[in-house]
Amino acid sequence: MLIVTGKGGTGKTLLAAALARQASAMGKRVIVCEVGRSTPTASSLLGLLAPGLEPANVPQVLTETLSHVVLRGEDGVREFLRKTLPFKFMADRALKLDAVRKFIDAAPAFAEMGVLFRGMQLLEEQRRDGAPVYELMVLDAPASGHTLAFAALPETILKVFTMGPIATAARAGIELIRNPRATTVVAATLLESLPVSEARELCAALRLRGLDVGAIIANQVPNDPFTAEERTALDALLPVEVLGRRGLVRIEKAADALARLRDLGAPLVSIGAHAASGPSLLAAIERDLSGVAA
Amino acid sequence: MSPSDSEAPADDARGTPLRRLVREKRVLVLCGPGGVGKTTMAAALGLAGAQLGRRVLVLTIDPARRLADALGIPLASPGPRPVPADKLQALGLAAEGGRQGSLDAWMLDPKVVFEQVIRVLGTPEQTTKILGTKLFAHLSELASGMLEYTAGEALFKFASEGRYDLIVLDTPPARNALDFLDAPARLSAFLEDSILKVFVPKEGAGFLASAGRLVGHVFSRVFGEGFIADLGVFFQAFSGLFGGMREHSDGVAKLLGSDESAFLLVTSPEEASLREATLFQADLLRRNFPFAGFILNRSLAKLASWPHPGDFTSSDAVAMSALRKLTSIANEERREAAEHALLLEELRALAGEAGFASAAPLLLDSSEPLAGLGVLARELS
Repeated sequence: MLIVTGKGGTGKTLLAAALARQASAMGKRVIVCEVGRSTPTASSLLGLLAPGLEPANVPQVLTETLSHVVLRGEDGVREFLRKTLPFKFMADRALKLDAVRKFIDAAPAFAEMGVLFRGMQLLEEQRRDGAPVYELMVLDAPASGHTLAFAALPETILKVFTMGPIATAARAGIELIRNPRATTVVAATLLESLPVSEARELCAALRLRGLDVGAIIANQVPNDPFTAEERTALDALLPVEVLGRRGLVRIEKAADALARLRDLGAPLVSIGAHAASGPSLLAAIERDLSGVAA
Repeated sequence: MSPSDSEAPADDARGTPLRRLVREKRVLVLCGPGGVGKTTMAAALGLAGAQLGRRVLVLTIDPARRLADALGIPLASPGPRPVPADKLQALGLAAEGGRQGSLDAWMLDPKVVFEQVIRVLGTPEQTTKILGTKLFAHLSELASGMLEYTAGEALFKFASEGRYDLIVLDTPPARNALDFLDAPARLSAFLEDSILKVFVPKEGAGFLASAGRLVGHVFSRVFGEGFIADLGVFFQAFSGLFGGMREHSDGVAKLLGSDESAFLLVTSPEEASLREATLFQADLLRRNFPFAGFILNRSLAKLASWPHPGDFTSSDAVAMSALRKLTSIANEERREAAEHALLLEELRALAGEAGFASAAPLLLDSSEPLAGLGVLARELS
């Protein structure tokens, strides 16, 4: 499982799409997932990969080696109840009850546990020859704060439910996400100071939770066209308030920011600042990523 | 740099609309989507209030180390802490007209607030029972709306105490601006109603309808008996506290609906956050909360009046080549500046007669939070 996370606006959805496409192009059977609460009406992730297709909570085959699914908490909860209760109809009836619905609504931990459970269930699916249906799951995770809560969730659940079926599922969840051979996190960030600080905090917190940080992706890294002499000349010539100043400050800060990201000790990948959008931006990012996905 | 609001019709001699809010209101609520800089803006407005001589509390829900460091307060504390005088000075905030304001800040801890609520509302026996359950220990992680609910409770507490002239509340990022007002209702949905009936044994038979039996069966099968017992203790002790909780939340709703409060919507120029901000506004207006205006953060609108590298010339070939290279970057910024200026106009139109839209000052170098906050505070006020 590859969890792609980052603060809002860091381009993690694009990166998830690009990474999924690359892995699939390398011949891996990939399922790319996004987390949704109810049936979404539009999906930017799916919009990038297969414009015009409606997102669904059951896997949709996009190409021979690439599928897409919306992981919904309620589906996971249903599957969990079906597995736990003696009869399937009990799970379906229970979920129709007001009290149960309210409980799940009010306790998002259960819905999120449902997301994890649903993901685990898809990863366990086997083909007739016993090989897994999906060799790689790329998860376009919600914003970073949420990802942390998600990473901590099975542990929290275990503290409250020390035994029983919920505890068993939580333990399986911990085994999956804490196994660096099975799960790694890719953290996307921009180079502004706040996102970089947050990326650093996120990595530390993820590692504290026993998760592996596989790579850090610096997005929208500005291209520096200036020589040192040119910079000096500009500084001497121009006032502080001049068009282009923000770009100059950005370029200057980018080097520091990259250094702060580099010393996190995970491979650092730079993605350029592209003016494109939609599928052409995806293509540009894929070019930047090429070779790195391996 | 000219004040951003100079064109706003609501301006008068007493300053920009924001300055008036900071000077006059008792509660400022900052709403907006995640990642638009709400917390920084809350801190800056708090600083601005202190500079105007008021006793200010900034309540934030964002445990951002960077901001805590900038304000010189601990990341985790059991209550508000004063921002040290040397920090205020470092931020360049001298008291205006000799009046000495103060600034306290607190990174809200839901557990602390909730425990206080239980201690205030419950009997010692109820309190001991509730605090002793496993469910209480992890409620803030398990139940939705705890953060929002406790933000409301904290606001109620500090507003009733009268220690502060102004409370700036930074709300959790939410899809719905008023999630934190609905939180008590959602929390009580978790804590009472039909669920309660399942877990709290009552006298007399027959209260468990067949649905109740199925629910009971599902819950005990799924959760295990130990948890069910814990839940029973928790809910039983808790059921006596609802009246008090409801009183508090009614008090909060009343205060927030009054003209002592003002809601500010913070947004960035990104399409998604603008869309959300306009939805928030509609939501506020529909429910009769005092919407005051939009703050457009990270806007380049002000750059529109800055000179272009093409306006400069040099006899030095290196400088000329650098200027040429800078041109494309400058053109892009000019394009964005024009776009953001239009946006600001649109927000002003949307804000209507009574509201305003301001562009927050642009921090060229956001890596210096200390200096940045000071600049923001000065320009906002």
